Amino acid sequence: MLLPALFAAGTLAVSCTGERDMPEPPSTDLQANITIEDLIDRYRGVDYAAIDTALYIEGVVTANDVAGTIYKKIFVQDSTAGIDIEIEMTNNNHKYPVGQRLVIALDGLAFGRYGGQPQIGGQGGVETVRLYEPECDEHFFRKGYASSALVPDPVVLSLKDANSRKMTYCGMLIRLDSVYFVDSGQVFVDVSADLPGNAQNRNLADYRGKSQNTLAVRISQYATFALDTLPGGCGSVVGILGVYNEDPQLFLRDRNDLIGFRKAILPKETADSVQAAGF
Amino acid sequence: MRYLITSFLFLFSLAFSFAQRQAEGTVLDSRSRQPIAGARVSAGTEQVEAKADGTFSIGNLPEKGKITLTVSATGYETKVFNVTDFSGGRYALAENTGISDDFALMELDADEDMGYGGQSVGGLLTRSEDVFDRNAGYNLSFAYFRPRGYDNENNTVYVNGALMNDPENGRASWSEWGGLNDATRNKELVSGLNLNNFGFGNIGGEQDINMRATSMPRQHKFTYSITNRTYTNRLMYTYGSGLLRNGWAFSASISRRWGNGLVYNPVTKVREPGFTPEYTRKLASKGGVPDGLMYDGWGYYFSFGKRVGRSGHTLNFVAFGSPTKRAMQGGSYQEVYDLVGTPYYNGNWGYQNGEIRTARVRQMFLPTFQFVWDYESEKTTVTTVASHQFGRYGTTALNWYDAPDPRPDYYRYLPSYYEDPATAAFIADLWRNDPSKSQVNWDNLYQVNYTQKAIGAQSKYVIEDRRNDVNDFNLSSVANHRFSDHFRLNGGARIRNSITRNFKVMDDLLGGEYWLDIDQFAERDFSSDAQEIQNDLDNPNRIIHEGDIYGYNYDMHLVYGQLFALANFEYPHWDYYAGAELSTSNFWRYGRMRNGRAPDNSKGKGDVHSFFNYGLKTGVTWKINGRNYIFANVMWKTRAPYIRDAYISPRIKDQVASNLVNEKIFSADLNYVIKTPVVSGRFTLYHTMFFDGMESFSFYHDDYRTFVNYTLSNVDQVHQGVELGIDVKIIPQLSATLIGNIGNYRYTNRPTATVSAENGAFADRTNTIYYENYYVTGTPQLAGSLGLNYQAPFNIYLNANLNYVNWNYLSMNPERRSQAAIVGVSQDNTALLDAILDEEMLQGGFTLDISVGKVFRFNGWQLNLNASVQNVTNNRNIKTGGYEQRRFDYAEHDVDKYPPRYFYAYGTTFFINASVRF
Repeated sequence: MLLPALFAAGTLAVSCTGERDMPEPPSTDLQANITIEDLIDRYRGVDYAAIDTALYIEGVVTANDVAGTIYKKIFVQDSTAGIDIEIEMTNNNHKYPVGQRLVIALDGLAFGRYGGQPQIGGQGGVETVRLYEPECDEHFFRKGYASSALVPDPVVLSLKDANSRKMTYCGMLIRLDSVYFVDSGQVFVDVSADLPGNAQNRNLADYRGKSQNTLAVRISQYATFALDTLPGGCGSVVGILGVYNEDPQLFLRDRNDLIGFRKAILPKETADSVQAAGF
Repeated sequence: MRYLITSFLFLFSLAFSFAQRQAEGTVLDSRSRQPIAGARVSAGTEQVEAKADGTFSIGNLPEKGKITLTVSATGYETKVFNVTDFSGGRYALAENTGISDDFALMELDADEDMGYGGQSVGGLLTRSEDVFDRNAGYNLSFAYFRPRGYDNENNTVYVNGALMNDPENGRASWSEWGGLNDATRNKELVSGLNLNNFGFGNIGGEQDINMRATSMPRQHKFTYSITNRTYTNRLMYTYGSGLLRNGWAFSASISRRWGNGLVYNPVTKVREPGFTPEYTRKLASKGGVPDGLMYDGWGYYFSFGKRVGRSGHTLNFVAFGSPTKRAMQGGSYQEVYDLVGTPYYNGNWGYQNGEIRTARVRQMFLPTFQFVWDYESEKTTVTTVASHQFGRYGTTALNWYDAPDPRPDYYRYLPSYYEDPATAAFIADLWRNDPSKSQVNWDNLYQVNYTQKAIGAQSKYVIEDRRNDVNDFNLSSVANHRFSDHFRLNGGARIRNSITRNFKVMDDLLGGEYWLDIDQFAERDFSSDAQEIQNDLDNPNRIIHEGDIYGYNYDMHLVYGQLFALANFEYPHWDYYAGAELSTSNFWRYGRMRNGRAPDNSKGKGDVHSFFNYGLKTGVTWKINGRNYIFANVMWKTRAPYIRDAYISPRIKDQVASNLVNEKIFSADLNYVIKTPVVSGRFTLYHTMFFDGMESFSFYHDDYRTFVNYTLSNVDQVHQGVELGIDVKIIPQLSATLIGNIGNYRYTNRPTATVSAENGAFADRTNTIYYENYYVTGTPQLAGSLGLNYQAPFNIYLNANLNYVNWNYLSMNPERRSQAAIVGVSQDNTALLDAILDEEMLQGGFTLDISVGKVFRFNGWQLNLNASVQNVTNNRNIKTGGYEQRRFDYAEHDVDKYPPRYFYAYGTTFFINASVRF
């Protein structure tokens, strides 16, 4: 009888456990010495400039190609502004997930503008070129693991502000409330049509009719939801604000950036019922 | 240390020096009433051997209470006796009619290069007297259960006192004397930290196999066995003259094991590896059943010796060896198992002109010669042995140059590689029905080489023989001397000088003309005239023909010396011992080729790496009474790194891991032993810690397109758990046995990985592996067995065992537990993080084994018939092991992209054995 008792006691003695190990998050001693806003200011009016000084920006990845809406680029944002980083890499969302804090060493890279949109890329002589993966590894330094908690809250803009102050918020994560798709009921991207740039613009308008402004949501035909139907009703839209030749445009990151819309295509409802729904 | 000494002195003062009790008696054969020479008699931790006339005298018995003696002998059932007559007891043993002695154990020969494989240590324990050890070794071997989760190198194996563990990797192996079951049956064996008389001790235990002619029983014995485990037939003959009147003794044994294993698949009605019925019919029309597991093993043993009068000196000469040639089994992916309908798929073989041929053949022959000198007087025994082992150990494998991978289960040949469903279905169909796709397509390999030959080009596919030839010399002397009734000293000295030659030989050009000795993987990264592509810079672009050494060629030298002493203090209630070991290991590499990737660091003698090690060991036994004992052992020792782990890419360069340090081991156990004629058993609590260990493996890396050598250093582990073994005689003819192990084997720190590309494509790099609290892999941590043994009338023996194993983990790819593996994964995606980081627990389960035996005796002849069926219920779901692929999809974190390989426990197997002895 002693043996089973000892066995039971012994079992307790070895039943100590521990948490499964977790690799330490990546870290770097590097720190930003310029904000993204200051960087853009520094090159005001400049369409291309090679950077040969030890400048560092630090920000969090706000958008990548996870849903195919954004192609070979990521957006990085700090507390002041956001900027487009040009990367010669498809599936960059596996390397730079949303919520990844990065320090970017700009020395050896270039600042440029494409259709007015500020961007960081490689030194291409007259314009920025996309950075190859080894160059990214050399210039981008991760701080910690990616987490959605690190993503800055989107700046809530009206359609009017999104148009009039587009250069201020360009490259940043923004949110528009109480908007609707003018083309609701059609597919996001009509691939049968002739699409310059392999993308289609779908306009957002103010649901309450307070503003006459619209904003184009630019959707790639390679987006995972390109063949879905544009939702109906009113909702909020999150995305990266961009500019192209003086026109603002919005880049969705994935389908979840459309919040509160209705799936079914319904006749346009009155503003009252929208109000009742809490908008 | 000071504390230790103080506690010793304290314990001494407690001991009273009463006159000890001792028991004398004779061990007899219960039938013939003839004495059994060499029978082992033990009481608690005390053990003696019966003399030639069967008499023994065992002292140091507990002063109070009833005394039980455990009496065992080779070929007899172990029995526990109550001592009633302390001066002339007669202890009769019945002959063993069970089959465990002749049982063929599972042997797995997987790719040791992958850090998985080799042999389970379980088989080494089958003849132990301990209830747990014997049953674990025998009944749990199907699942590669390793006691206390220890790797093989933590058990030491001696033959006649000579150290037999491999000099390069420290592993103990019994295939070196495979088939010599009768010649190796006589052994002294202790498990765990327990004390023995022939060595300092190792944490997993030690055993000394006695193959001296002067210790062999007088007999002629023929054995024939038929089985479907690893081979089909076994024939053995053993002769022993016994000790003749003139003091001489002769013994010999010869055996052969052959056949392809006959592993029977009840679903497909064919031998394994089997396929779908249609496929089998196709094969049958070709005139053959697919076995692919060739086995041809011989064994010989010869010994003669002389007892020199009454001087106490005995001399023996021993020679043995097992020339063996066998096909290797290989594990594959679940996808492949599902396709072919059997988890025993073996992709190593294929058809050549309708004949089965296997690409991976292990051919080994390590003849051993020993000269043994024993001296025995009333108070002293000294055993001195000189041993020399040398020979070949090689494994063949396919190699190819600038051509598609010839291995059938290469991932690009599997349906899952194709995104188009129609193509995938087509490939799957080929897999199910076309052996030229699902097995090695030798005819195609020959055709490619014929074409090459016609244009004067080199072979694209060849078979090479990768050799690790050993030349090992061992000289040791171990003495035991009794100074007084209370003090006994064991001590020994050993030197070992060994050379392992590592090289590869062109075995078969497969119809081609020649092979060029360059590194094709380096050729991809360097220009074709760069010196980096040369394997042998002194003979650039050498043309290789069959029989030529090529690729790499280097020797590993080891010079090892050991001294140890153990002092034993024996008192009526308490025994203590303490001992120390000092050893030195010196190794170096001697390169025979100047490698183009390391021209200045590959040829000639390399640096000598010297390690000084020590071990301390102590223990105490409390003899509560003659039936109950409690004992505890503690050991601290350091151990030099093994050559196999120490060198990084030894095939191309002379470089050791940067942080090469001794491994440190702490081990302790606490045991309670009960021995009564009705109940005998042991309960053990064990706790062992390893510090600064190393692990290494090499593999072909698909992304880098080269062989990669991977070394983990600074590996810490803890192995803790409980062992229980209990045997209860329900009625005299019926006993029940229960054993169990609950273990908790974990990594306890974050080792450093060094990655080295054999083609020199990138500089060696290191990173941290986050292993803390991960389970140690490769053996079930939870295991048990419940057995019933019935000694029926008419000399019939019946046995049934229900076994259970679980908590076994898949061997890990360390890279998946590094920062690089998860750095692109958001912390929000916990499902993916878990998929990457978690260990896979392998499917465990129950198996049922049944065996039956009968003995016929007439006129001094004895006929034993026995049969066993393992896994009666044909449970084919138990995974015994496997490994994650050593590659990882960093780009997209797809954990299913490189699926793991698995090994499954066999389904129902049988073993039938007949032996005649006279």
